[in-house]
Amino acid sequence: MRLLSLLVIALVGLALCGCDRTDASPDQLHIEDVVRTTSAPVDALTRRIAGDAVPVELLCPQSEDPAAWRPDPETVASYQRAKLIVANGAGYEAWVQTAPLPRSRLIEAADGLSEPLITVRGETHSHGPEGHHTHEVTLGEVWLDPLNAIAQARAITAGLADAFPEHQDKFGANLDVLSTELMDLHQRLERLEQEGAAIVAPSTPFGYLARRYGWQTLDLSQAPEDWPMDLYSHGMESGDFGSGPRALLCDKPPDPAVANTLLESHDVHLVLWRTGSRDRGKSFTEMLSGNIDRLEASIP
Amino acid sequence: MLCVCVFVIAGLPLVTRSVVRSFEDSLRDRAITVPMIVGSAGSRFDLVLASLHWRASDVTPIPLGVAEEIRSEPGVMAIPVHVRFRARGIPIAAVPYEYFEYRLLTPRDGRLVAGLGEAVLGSSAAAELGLVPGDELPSDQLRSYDITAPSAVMLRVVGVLRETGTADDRAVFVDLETAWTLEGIAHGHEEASSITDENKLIGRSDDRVALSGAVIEHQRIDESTIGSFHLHADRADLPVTAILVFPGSEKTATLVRTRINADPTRQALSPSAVSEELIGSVLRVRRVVDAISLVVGIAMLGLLVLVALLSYRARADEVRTLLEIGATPSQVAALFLTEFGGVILVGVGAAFLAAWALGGASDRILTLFT
Repeated sequence: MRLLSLLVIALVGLALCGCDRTDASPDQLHIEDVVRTTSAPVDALTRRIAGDAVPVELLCPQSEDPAAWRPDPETVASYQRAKLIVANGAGYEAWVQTAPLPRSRLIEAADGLSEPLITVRGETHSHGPEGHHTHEVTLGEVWLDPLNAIAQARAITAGLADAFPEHQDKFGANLDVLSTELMDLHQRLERLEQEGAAIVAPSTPFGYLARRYGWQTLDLSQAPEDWPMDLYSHGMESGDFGSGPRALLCDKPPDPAVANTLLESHDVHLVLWRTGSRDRGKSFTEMLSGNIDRLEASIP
Repeated sequence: MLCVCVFVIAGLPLVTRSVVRSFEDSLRDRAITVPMIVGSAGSRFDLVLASLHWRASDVTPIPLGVAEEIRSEPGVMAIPVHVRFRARGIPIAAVPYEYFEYRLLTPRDGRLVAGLGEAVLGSSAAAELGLVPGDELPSDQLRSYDITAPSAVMLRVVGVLRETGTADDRAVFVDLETAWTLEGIAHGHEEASSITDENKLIGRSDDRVALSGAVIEHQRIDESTIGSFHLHADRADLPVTAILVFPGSEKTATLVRTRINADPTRQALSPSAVSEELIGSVLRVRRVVDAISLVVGIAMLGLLVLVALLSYRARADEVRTLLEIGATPSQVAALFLTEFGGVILVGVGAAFLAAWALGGASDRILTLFT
């Protein structure tokens, strides 16, 4: 009898454990009606297309380089809750490649490009059972080419229209205006190409821009602020670059002494071309227009 | 002792029925939540049990790109899942964030997965492992004696989910990228170009660095190492166990099913149909148990009658005394019937209680065997 009593108590306990089920609180998984972007260029494009129809937030701090930034868990959770996440893609934001983001709500704007991405051959090394393998690095600054920016804008518009179909017409109208402005800027650059302007651009980050307009590229491993005084001898003296006055693009101002040496000794005019990677809140087309103005003014 | 005999006779078929019914309910409830499962051609039972009940097995993987193809169909949601590894015996379910949204899985403690190497435990898994957010959990080595197999990875527990009463309670959830790290497709190590230790280098040229086996891949993913983790495959080629498909309409379901089944290496299944097949097999086993229980029951009943008659004979002096002090024969019979009736009642009552209790906890019991 005692044995049976113990058995009954054990069974009641087991049954009560089985009944102890707590309902999940779906509020914690609530999707917010907001678009969250990962870098300034796509943020500018997204804001332009979304207009005032939907809120757009860039969570990458101003002080951080979006390409190297790694968000904390709370920020990743904010991205996870967004109705749409817009990233540049092309491997530009490294963290996006391994973060557990809802891929069904993630737009990588560079996926809209019809032309191949530019890969910078990385290092080949071998270790483990896999043998030789190469870590290729994709050039992420696709937006610097106005036609690429149009393709990215189209991809963003498609994503916005899927997420917020009630504003589809507004997005379409904003895209049309933006595309027209970008086409005008593209034509200005094309004219420079037709006029035979001698323009040289470091392949990183200007690879896409140089490819579009047939500019000569220069493989420089240092950032402009670290350019050496004898930069000219690091490739520009080669016959391929011709002679005479030329414009050399840089995304940050180099040491003034380097700029003076290039200008006075080699007739190379430095042109500051803002990539906009950290210029949050600025108009994409105004920034690009300012770059072209500076280039036109410096063409000898 | 008689009580226990009655309990066993009545309990066996009752408990079997109750557990089987709960098993059926569990399979059906889980299956109807997913209209379609896409995976590699092979055992349909393995595919459904792996993707719905987290039974870690060596189901042939399919490339992640298939999920993207399916998603390109308008109005279709596709959730890829990866189930191959275990952590201290508990299956590791690698899922994207959409899975938590779809199943309404929210954390009871801590938070959901937000990065590589992080894990969220189902409530039973947390209780079984005795882990809380902040603890670490090593993945199990797939083949202990294979030195070429990827090494175990130390997972960081960041949350414990609320109880759901489903297979999700006994799983360790990670993101897909972590599963690929466990596969060895993603890994992190020292920057090859910065290695100067001669023991770690086989050779170096302008564009190539050959590293020796002395370079150890990171086994712990934290702030200092996460930046070095990288994938060694195109995203579309990365392996997943199955894809849970949610077509927006019957038409898109047919389109997806036709397209997938056109490829002989893949299959698109209806989990409900497969679960019904599985339930059918279980029901056949239950019928055998019922038949055996019936035979055992009849034998036991005969024994009980025999015990009752022997007991009556052994207590003949007691009966005679009762009659001599004025008890009627019907009162004596009532006394014996009450005694035996009580024994049978307690035994049968305990059997019903057992059936109810084990039926309520059948999810927990079944997860131990799947």
